[in-house]
Amino acid sequence: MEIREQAALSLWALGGQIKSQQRAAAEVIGIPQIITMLLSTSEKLQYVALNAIIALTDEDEHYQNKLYNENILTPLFRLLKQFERLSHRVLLVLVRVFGVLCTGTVK
Amino acid sequence: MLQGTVASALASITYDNRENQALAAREGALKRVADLMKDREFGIRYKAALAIEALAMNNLDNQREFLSKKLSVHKPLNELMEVRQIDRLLTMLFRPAFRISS
Repeated sequence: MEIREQAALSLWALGGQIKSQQRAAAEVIGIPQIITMLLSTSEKLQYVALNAIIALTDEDEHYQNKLYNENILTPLFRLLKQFERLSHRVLLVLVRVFGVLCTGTVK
Repeated sequence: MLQGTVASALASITYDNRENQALAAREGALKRVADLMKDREFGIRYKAALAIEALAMNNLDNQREFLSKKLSVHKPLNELMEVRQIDRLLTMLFRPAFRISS
């Protein structure tokens, strides 16, 4: 698990603060891997996965629809139901994810 | 093993430290760390991943260099994320068929 966590964190560090780079990092991770990360018990993997979802879906209808078709909502709702067990940063990003999926944009 | 230790040390001194990150980049550390990601040992790749995170943290130049075609560290990092599946498969393949109870 530690190896996967570190790989995810390193990939996300490569994304930096620039949207296009973050999106590139998220695309490298891939949607199936993102879903697996959401379902894991690792706080770090959940955090990176949620940020990757935002990077993919922010102002991008194509990815919003693609993630919806890949059934992203189920693991997200599963996480939300466990909100008391989530770390603060994961909970905050989770709320942002729902915001982006509902409105189509981060802003 | 020594390379892994050096990668860990590099991670410690460059984590979110612009000056040290730039110095490491000037000395060719990025390429060396990227090469460690091709090592057969998962432990060394793990330590290289630590160094990548540290060197890339909030440093656009290093991020771009790591993502460039020359280094392309995102590919081996993605492979490293699939380690669990590989590990589980190897465990299944080499598990003894039965256990002799004492």
